[in-house]
This record gives sequence, C-alpha cells and structure tokens, in this order.
Amino acid sequence: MKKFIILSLLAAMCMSSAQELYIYSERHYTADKKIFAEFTEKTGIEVKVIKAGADELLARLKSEAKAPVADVYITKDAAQLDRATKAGLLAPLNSPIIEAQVPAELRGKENTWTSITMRGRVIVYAKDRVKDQLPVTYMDLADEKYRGRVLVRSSSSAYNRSLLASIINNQGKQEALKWAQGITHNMARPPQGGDRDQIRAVAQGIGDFAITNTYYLGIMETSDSETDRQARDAVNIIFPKSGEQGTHVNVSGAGIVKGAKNVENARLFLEFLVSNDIQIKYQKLTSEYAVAKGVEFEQLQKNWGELSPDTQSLHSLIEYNADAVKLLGIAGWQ
Amino acid sequence: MSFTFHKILRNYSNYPVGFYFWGLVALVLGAFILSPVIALVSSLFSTYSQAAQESLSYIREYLLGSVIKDSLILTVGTLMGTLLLGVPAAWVCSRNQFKYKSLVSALLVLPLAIPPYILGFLVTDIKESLVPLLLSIRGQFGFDIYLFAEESSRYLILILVFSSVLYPYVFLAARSAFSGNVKSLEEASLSLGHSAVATFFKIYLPLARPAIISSLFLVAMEVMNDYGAVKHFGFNTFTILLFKTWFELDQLMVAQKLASWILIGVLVFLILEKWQRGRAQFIQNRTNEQTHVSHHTHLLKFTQKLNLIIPLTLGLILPIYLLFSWMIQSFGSLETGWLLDLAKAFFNSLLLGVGVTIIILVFALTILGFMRYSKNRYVKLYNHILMVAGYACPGAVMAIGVLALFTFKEQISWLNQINWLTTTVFGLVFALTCRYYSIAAQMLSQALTRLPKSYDLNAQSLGTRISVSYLTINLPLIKPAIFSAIALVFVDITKELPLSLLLRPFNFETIGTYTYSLVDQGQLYHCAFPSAALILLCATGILLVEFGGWRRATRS
Repeated sequence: MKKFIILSLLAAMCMSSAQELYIYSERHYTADKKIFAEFTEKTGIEVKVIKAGADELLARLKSEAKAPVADVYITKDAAQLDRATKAGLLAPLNSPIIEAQVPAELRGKENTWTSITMRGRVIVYAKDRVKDQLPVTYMDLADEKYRGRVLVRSSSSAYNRSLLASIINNQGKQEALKWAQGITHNMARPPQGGDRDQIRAVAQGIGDFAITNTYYLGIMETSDSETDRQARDAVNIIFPKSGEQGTHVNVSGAGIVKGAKNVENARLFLEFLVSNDIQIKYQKLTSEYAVAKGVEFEQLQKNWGELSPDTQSLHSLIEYNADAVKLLGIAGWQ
Repeated sequence: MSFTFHKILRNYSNYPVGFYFWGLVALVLGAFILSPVIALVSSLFSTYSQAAQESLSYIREYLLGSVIKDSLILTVGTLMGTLLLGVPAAWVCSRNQFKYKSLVSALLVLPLAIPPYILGFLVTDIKESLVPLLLSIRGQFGFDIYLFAEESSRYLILILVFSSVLYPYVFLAARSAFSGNVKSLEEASLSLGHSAVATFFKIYLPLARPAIISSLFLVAMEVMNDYGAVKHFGFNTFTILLFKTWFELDQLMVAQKLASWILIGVLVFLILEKWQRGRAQFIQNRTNEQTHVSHHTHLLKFTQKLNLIIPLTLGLILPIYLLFSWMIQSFGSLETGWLLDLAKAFFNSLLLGVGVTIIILVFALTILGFMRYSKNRYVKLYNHILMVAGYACPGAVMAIGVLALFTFKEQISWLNQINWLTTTVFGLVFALTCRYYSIAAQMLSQALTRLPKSYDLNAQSLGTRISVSYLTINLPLIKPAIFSAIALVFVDITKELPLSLLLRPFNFETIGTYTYSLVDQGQLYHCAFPSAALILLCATGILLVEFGGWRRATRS
C-alpha cells in the first residue's frame, strides 16, 4: 500500500513538472528572445534555445537521430530545411492551423516545415548619383554599363548561394554563370563585410548599387546609429525580377524534429509563431515580411516598394545549391 | 614466469624492467600525438569518389591561384615586417642599459597577448578611413588603378596587423641571441677595421641567424594559421581554403588531402632550412658578462628610442586605444545576457587551457624523461619527430587530421557506438594536445639538455632509481622552463581560433570563438569586451613568463 502511494505521488510530480521545449535555431536575433519569452508567458512552456551555424545544427541532428534532444529546428534558409527533410530528420507537421495560416507555397512540399518569416533579396542604388538606366532584373545588373559600380557580399554567404540557385532554376546554368561572371566583373571592390556594409559603402560612394536583404533596410532605418540611418536614407530600392518570375525570396522556417519528446509543445510553438499577432510583431521588430495569409505589411515595408515574390523556386534551392557554389567559384566571385 | 622474464632482460641490458615500462608508456603517448599526422598522410593514399575528384580539380583550377598569391604576399610581408620591428628593438634591449629596461622589455613582448584576428577586427575603422583617398585615386587614375590601390592597401594593413602582434617572436629570439657573449668576436671585428654597423651585419646577425629563422618560422605558421583576420579582410589563405572545402563544398576527404599536402610542404621547408644551414654550429659561450653601457651621441639615442617606440605603438598602444574606444562605443547597445555568455566562454577557455596544458606537461615530461636516459638513437629520432610534428601543423590542418582519425574509427563497427567522441570536448582536447605538444617539448628539452648527467649518476651510485632522480632532482632544476612552457602553451591555446571553430562540441564557445561569432553576425563593436577579456588572460600568462620564468630560463 505504501509503495503504491509513493509511486503515484512520484507520477503526479512528474506530470505536474514544468513543460519544456528544446529549439535548435540558426537565427540569432534579439527579437526571437522576446517572442520566445512571450510564448512561455502565454503557455507556461519553458523554451530552451541552442544557437549555432546551420551545418553544425544539421550535423548534430543527424548524430542524435536515434534519440533526439531537440524538438524544433529553425533555420534562415529554405534549402537547409529541405536538406533536413531529405535526411529524414523532420516529422510531418499535422497542423490544420498552420495549413490555414500559411500559404502552401511557403510550406515544405512534404508538409515537414513551415515558413515563419520571409525576406526578399533586392537591389538598392544611390539616390543622388543614379538618375536613369536602372536595372529591372537581376540579369540587368550584370551588364557592362554597371562596371565598377556594384557592391555585394562574399560568395560564402548562403543568401547569395540561394539567389544564384534560384536563377539557375529560373533561367538555367548558362545564364546563371553569365550573371555571376557579370556581377563579379562589375564589382566596385572585392567582397567585404555583410549586406549592411554594402549599403554603407554605397552611401560612402564606393559603389552605386548593392544587393541586400530587405530586412537590413528596416534594421538600419530604425537603428540607434546616425550613420546607419543616413546610409539607409541615401538609397532607393528596386525589387528586381528573376527572369519571368518575381523577386527572389528566402524564408526563415521551422520544422518539428522526428521523434521529438515534446511534439505537442513543438506544434503549439509553431502555431504560435505563425499566428497573426506574432507575425505582426516580427514585422515590427525585425522588418522581415510576414508569411501568414491576411497579415498586411507594415507601412515601413510598403514604402520600400511592391514585392511580388518568386515563391516557386523556393523549393528548388536545395537542388541547385551545390551547382551555385561551383558557379560562384568559376566566376571568381570571392 | 616473470622471474625468468626478469632474468632474460637482465642478461641483455643494464636497465631495470621498470625502465622499459616507462619506454612503453612514452611510446604510446608519442603515438597519440603523432596519430592525427599519420592519419592525414595516409589519406594521401586513399582513392577518391567521383565527386571528390571533381571538387579537387575545381579547387585546383579556380581557387588555388588566389590562395597561393594571398598566402605568399601575406607571409613574406609579415616576415619582413616582424624582422623590421623585432630585430632593432632586440638589439637596443640587449646591448644597452637604460632606465625601466625590464619594464620596456616586458611591454615589447606583450603584443603576443593580442590574437591577430582581434587586431584585424579593431582596425576596421582605420581601413574605412582610407575610402575617401581611394575614391579620389579612382577619380584621377581610373578604375583599374583604384582596384590595385584598394587591394594593396588591404594587404598592407593586414601585414601591419600581423607584424604588430607577431614581432615579439622575432624580438625574443634576437634578444636572446644578441645577449650571448660575443665580445671577443666584436673586438676582433672592430680591431680589424670594420665599423660598428658592419660588425652588426657581419658578426651579430649571422650568429643570431638560427634563432631568428626559427622565430620567423613561428611567425609564418601564425600567419598561415589565421582564420579570422584574413577572412575579415577578404583574402584567401590555405586555412580559408580548408574551411571552404569542408563547409561549402562539403568534401571532408578533399580537405584531408589538401591538409596533408600543406603539412608536407611545411616539413619540406623545415628540412630545406636545416640543410641550408649545413653543419655550421652556432656556439656561444655562456659567461655572464655585463652588457656594456654604451656612450652614444644624441642622434643615436633618438634612433634607439624610435626602435623601441614604433613596435610598442603598433603592437600595444594602438590596439589598447582602439579596444577601449570600442568598449565605450558598444556599451550602450549590448544585448541582455551578454555578460553570462562571456562568462561561460571565459570559463570554457580557462578550463580548456588549464586542462590541455596539464596533459601536455605530463606527456612531455614523461617522453622527454625517457629520452634523456635512453641511449637508443631510434628513441632520439622518435623524440625529434614528436617535437616537430605538431609544430609544423597549422590548427585547421590538425583539426582535419583528428577528424580523419575519427572517420577511420567509424569504419570499425563496434566503435561506431561511440561517435560521441567527435561531439564532446574530447576531440578538441586531443587536437590541441597534439598541436601544442611540441612547443612545450622544445622548451623543456632545451632546459633538460643543459643539466649535466652527473646529478643522475651521483644519485644512481647512491642507490636511487632513475625515475626518482628524474622527478626529485632534474625537474625541480628546470622549474623556470616548466613555468614558461605552461604559460606559453596556455596563451597559445587561449588565442587559438580555427581549430577551436572546427572541433568545438555543440553549444561550447571559447572566448575566441565567441568573439569571432559576434563579428560574423555583424555585431562588430560588440566584440570589444570579450576581446579585452581574452587579451587580459593572455597578457597575464605572458607577463608571468617575462618576469618569472624566461629570465631565469635563459640564465640557467
């Protein structure tokens, strides 16, 4: 009798212990911390995050496949999520809420991941120096007339690799190589720094055009630094077309790890992230685009211009990733 | 049965059995240290998949050219820079007595506490300030000249960065060499008609050659080993190529092959240098003669001061000023919880440094001790190889060697169960031990060879076993060298970046990797506080060596 009482007490203790959720995330924004804290407040589920590089996290997930530690896998690149799916590391979401909130083209083809936020890769140009001959497509920027005027970050950046992968998807390898070679030829300086450094360099006059992600514009616009705000102010934005398609977009997304211990919490968490309130919050905090249907873009984002996203090449980014790396090297894009 | 075994051994040698046991242990420890290198070299003989072959030819055609160019320019430039900064300062410090000499000497060594990548980050603003000048060059002379100027300015600044924090290697070696007693040679040279300047170039410099060349080798290795600064400046060296091959091309096997070629290249260079030196011996009598107080004209005094001030400014004053201004700038916008992250990284670095240092010390003392008493020349050769192996291996190369070892293990099925070996701190500790063993071994070996064998012989004749006399007589006598070895290895481990980036376990940051990741994420100024912590840690180590061990080590 005594044993039974002790055992049931223990069982009760286990059941009422704190709920938790383990996240492996490639994202490292302060906004995430705030939003995760809000989730904990709302549901009482404690969120534990481990941040690392995409490849590291993937290698870790692979080695833990038999006894997963993580429940949720968050990345900054759709190709990464597809890679995880291919390796059999993600479980189907099985969430009608997510299916209702997020359009099908922004979710994994096998329903193993969903986007959380979206960003476009756009061209900015110096307001005061460039008055005409604006590029309309990505291909235009590779034209000889822009020689010595283009600023872009290194080829080792996943953003550039995915952009090239989407160009391979839309226009084929030959055109993509021509584009990479043209851009390299047009560079105002060998690649240095990140996207924000390219915008600052445009403001300094080193180049007239830069390729950057959209959310950096928002971050610089609301930055504490006067130089950053002035730099953002000095440029206008073009949403280039990719061949026949719209502007190249990539997404931050999340999936549930196969065999995760806290599957229910993971599902709740993802549904939380794609809920309208949180989507609006992301837009305000990081200037990333919301992915949920019916959530309007912020005024700041609308001021940039009209985004017609090329979402169909999102799912072929993984396919052409290796080719993109090779083409970048062949083009001499450092 | 052991009784007869004993008897057989007795018939064949004069050593007790325990000695052979010691030898076995030394052999096994040495094998551990050599294993990554062996794994790497053996990968040269394995066949490659189609994808690997393609990657290799892709690398050869498109990446290798710029890698060789950047590596050569940066290395040769830094070698020249460190010579120019280190040798004159060493000359002034070794030949003159002046006020605050020991303080100035210590300060001149302190830039070693600053990892090259940190100074590389700190000079970003200086790099930016050149932009208006470059733009006016573009306006005046055209785009191609501008590109050349832009690239050259980046090379120059990076070479200055490397030279500023690496010249202490040359300084230390030259100072030690110049402090030897060559008065008789100097007097002979002067009396035969050479000027003081000619004497310097014809007598002192050649005598200091082996020491300076070894230090230049260390400098070259540090340049090759750097990952953070070179990447930040947009260049490609062999280390960057290794990272690229592994992470972007996803070809670990190809990275192994490249790494082993790099290793062989370095070894060939070492052998060439030794061959070129020939059989010349560079012996200096070590009598304690006072450095003479020179009487110089005012002009010379000014030049001497300049020789000291320039390295100090570049290597110490400028970095500290930049560091403080960045700390002030970043203070307002630091993320919540940054102190906790920094403390965790600091603690990790400390633990790692202390742990690996102790392991290396134990290994080195065991192996060197056995070598001291063994008369076998294969043992001496083995020891020699051990002292060179890790030394010739850049950090990234060593990391890939350790991984090669572990992937070999995975082919043995029962070991597959323990693939956590690669995901715990064991891999990192192992690689750091193999890499930095030789530094400790060389220092301790030098100190041990200076001890006369008579102490041991006396002890033995009184009945003490060799091991006991080694522990109780020899080791205490080389305490300063042990002390220096500990401090130098600890400083090197703390400063290390590429190996730590490649092999650190999940969710484990050292201060170095933490600083690097902040810059990688675009939070440039935020790296100031972790950098300061790192530099303080290393500076403590170096000052301990300068004031504590080094002086006494060279005087023993």
